[in-house]
Amino acid sequence: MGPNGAGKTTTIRTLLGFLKPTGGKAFIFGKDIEKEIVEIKEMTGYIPGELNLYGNLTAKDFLDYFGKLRKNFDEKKLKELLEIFEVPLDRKIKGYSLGMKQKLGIVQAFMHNPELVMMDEPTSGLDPLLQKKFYDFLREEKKEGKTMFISSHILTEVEKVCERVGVIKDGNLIALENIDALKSKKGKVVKVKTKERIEIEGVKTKKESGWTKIVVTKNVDEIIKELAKYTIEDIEIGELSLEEIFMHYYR
Amino acid sequence: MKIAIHSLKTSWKGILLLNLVFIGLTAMVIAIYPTIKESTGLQEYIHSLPKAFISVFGRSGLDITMLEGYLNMELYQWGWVLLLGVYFAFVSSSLISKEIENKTIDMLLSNPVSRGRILLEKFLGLVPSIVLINITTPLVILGCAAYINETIDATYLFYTHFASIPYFSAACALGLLFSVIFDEARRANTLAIGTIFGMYIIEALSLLSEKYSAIGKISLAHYYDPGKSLIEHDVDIMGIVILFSITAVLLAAAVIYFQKRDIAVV
Repeated sequence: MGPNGAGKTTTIRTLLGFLKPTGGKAFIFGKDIEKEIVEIKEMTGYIPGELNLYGNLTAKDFLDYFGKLRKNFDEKKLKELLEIFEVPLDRKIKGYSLGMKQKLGIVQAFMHNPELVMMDEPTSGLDPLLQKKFYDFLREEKKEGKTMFISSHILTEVEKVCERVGVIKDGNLIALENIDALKSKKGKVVKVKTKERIEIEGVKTKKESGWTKIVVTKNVDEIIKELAKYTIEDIEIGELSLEEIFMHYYR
Repeated sequence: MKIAIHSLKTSWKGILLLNLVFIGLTAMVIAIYPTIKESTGLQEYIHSLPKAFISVFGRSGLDITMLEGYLNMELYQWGWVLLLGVYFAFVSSSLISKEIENKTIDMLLSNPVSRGRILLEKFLGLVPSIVLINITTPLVILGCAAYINETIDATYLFYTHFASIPYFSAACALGLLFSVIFDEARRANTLAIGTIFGMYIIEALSLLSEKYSAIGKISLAHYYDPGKSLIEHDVDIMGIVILFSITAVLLAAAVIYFQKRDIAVV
């Protein structure tokens, strides 16, 4: 996880060998991504953030082409996948709706029973119904021992399937936590409009066009009581967004 | 071979069209030959043309009194050396650049295939189309020549076509090199077409005067002269060796560049 521009896509593209690392080393299944990328990909599936499939091919031809490029292509698995994620196989992909393309993207990533599937914000274009189907499917696949490597900037998305969350910022891994630990870092954003200038000892405030923004985590009671001393013209209370969790906890 | 076969499968319509065009063109060129042969005025006219024109359209002589010389001028020098050279460089220059432009390269590279293999298979996918046009065209020529009661030496005709295979291979390798360098197909296309065309002109210029004769050596066209084998029955083995070597060097350069480059999100 990480805010936009943190380096999520870059990380995935580097791990897949699309980009050359500027430094450091990475290993998948104990294999060096710079030297043994072909062997790694034999066991890996990939759903890109922006799906660009061969528009001039029918889905059938596309799946046939990619299936042939993989040693461990599993026809039975493909059938199962197509039952869950139904797509018009004989139609050219360029005529597909976004949802159909997404489904086809899922099918191609899993049709060779990979041990690891890398997904770059996979649900960004899925409608809620398909999203649920997709998560249910991922949970089933997980039970079979597959590893799902998902990039996202939406906490609620991640907490549905993931057990561990790495947080990246400016290209660096700044935290690696269990999902429960991350979820406990909840909080509220309180925005108040007052006549006076707000100053509470030990609490950071931020002025924003007449409003004062305060991130409230555990000290709810204390802050509300402090705020009561002021003349409040207006107040807004909202959930802490992931961006704000990052700003607050992982600076 | 899966990528090569796939590449061939998706391009068969273009290959078919190309062959039909050249079959039609060849038949048409030969069909008007009897009329041309009889017009002595045209002969004189051709010989009165400036040397520059002759070197562009008729290396190895402009003798249109024989079918070989006529075909050299009307079909081979521009149709084969220039037009088909441009065609193959154009087609190959799209092979990777188009996948990068359309971003389908991400999907392709997520498969367990190395970049070197992708490139070589894409190159192999072009070979059948190079071979095919070199079979259909001489067959059409032989058929049409028999029809108008002209004779042409079949051995040297086929040799002339055989010798164009390394020339087109080099043009394809050049196109592929451009196709891995550029993210946009159009830029790779333009450069590939321009380079083949430019080299054709350079070769023509080099024939104009002794002074320029050395610069022709940088042109691919310099190593393939259909007129030489067709008219003079001169077999240029060295040209074939040089063109295949150039192909190997260009392909190696393309593979190395492709392996090193980043496929960034544009």
